[in-house]
Amino acid sequence: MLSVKNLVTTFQTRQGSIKAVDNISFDLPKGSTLGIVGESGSGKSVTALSIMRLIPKDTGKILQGDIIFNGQNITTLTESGMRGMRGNKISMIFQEPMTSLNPVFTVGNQIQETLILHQQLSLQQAQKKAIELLQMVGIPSPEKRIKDYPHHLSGGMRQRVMIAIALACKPDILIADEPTTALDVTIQAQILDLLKNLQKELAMSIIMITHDLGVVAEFCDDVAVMYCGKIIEKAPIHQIFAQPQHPYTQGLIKSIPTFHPEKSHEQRLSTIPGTLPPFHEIPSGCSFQNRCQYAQEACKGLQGTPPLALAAQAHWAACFYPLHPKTHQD
Amino acid sequence: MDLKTYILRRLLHTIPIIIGIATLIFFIFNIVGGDPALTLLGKYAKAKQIASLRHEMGLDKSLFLQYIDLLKSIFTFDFGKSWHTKQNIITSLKESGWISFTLSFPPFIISCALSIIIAMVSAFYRGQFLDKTLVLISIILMSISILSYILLFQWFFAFKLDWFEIAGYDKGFPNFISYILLPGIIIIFLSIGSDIRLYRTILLDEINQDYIRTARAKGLSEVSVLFKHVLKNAMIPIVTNLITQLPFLFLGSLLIENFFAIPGLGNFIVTAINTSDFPVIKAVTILSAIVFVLFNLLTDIIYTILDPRVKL
Repeated sequence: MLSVKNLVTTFQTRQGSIKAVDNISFDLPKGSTLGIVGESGSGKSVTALSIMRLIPKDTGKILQGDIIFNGQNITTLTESGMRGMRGNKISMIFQEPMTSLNPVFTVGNQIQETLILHQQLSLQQAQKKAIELLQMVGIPSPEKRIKDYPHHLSGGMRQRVMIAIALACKPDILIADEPTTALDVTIQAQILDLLKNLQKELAMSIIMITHDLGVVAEFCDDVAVMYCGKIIEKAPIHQIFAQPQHPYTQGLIKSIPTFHPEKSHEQRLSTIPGTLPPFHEIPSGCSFQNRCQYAQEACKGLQGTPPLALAAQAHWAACFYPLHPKTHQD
Repeated sequence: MDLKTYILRRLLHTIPIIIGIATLIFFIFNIVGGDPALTLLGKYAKAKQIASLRHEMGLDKSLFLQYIDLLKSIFTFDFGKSWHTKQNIITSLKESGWISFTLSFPPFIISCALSIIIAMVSAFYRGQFLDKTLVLISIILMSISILSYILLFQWFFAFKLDWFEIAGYDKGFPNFISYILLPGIIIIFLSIGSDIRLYRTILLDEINQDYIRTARAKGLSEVSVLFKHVLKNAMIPIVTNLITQLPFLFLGSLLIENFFAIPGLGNFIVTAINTSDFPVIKAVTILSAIVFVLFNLLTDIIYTILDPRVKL
């Protein structure tokens, strides 16, 4: 369905050109869900915007790599060809439901816009469809709500409207960029449930970008962990939680808060020391070496950057010393 | 609250504002400023002359009665006659205000349309050569003094090339058009630079909003993103800027009208100040205050139309 190969996206900054996405590859089979996990600034959103080809033209560009969607390389598609994809075959929802809808147009208008653009519906047809879509995403009395402006709705409702817009043309792929980060926990669960049900109903693939491993565990089939623009670990969901290979992934999993009332006073939440290095200060060798408790001489650049290699079955890790190595012979 | 009730309420609110303005003006003219009769007649005037002029002007009445006279003149819209021209003030104001308006309204509309279009082109090609060139040109236009424009254009276009009249005015239609062309062009040059810069900034501000990213993610073309999603949001600050300029269409430009000898309101006011024509100055001060209050109301009403988040 979607296959990203050796994608490199660069941005021009005052410190020179940086690789916000550095040679990443992944596949997204039909109907499956891929989670992309990482800290802020690890390149998750840039990956998503690269697939949408919405990288700001003045500062960034896709330097190399292919993004194959249904046999078609969308990195070489014309701008108007790409516009036919966006919102139609590949849709995206964003982190900020409060600001992602245009404040001066009604909710209905903003949903109809996509339908009129991609499906050439008349205004009446689009209006009818918009009501159906609002119903589908669980908004009560949709025939009244389509006349509302975004500021009439709560954050959760706005995110539902965003989902309705994104799914209006039944896309093959939905990219969800931290769709629940800005929402209350109870609303988060509702939105995730909604996405899960709609995924089944529409048989679409989802790329779920998040920094919340809880969301990943609940939602995804496969996970790619990103660090400094690179995928450093990629595996099916159960494997990554059971046997993380990369020390960074292990650190992320350990830092998920757990609830044990009887021993909460003796157990402190584990953290990964340090922060993501700025892009122009990424060390040679393994980019995680300065924060890694297992780092050895080999990680410091003499043997180059650790490649993303098979560490166990279907389990890829970019680490010279994976934590749970397993060969195929086992 | 519906629009009608809102407008009515706001109009009622303007009454105390106008009374406040009138009181302030009364203090400035009658108490802080000296005796106008004395000012007019000069220091060699005889006591009898002064007394009769004071009577003529109503200055021998008590302050309270004079104050009531002022309020009465506001609500009856009758400010009496000019001391200088001996003509009815409201008639003169209407006449010269209309001249100012015909002079400044067409350039206002043209520069408004031009600056929005150029700002949109600039925003569309943001960061590229065309954008940088347009910004440079608008900074140059902004930086040149009004006097340089007037002198340069009068000398070059009117004197050297003889395309326009150098100065003067003719009230008949269509004769007056030939007189307002050159000052009109100068008015456009004066306002367009800063307007382009302001509108470009407003548009770029909108272009970076999250909902513009959403619009692009829907597959809309850059042109429809710009014309639908960006422009409607940008119109809110743009219209605010435009409405604040509206009162000046009537008040006219002092310098332009003087240099081009156009008998507009700006010229009228300068003459009134030069000749200590107090009734005219009073009338103009009060009327322009009222005009500003009304245009503020208009701004608020237009907001409610442009921005659904604004409630009455």
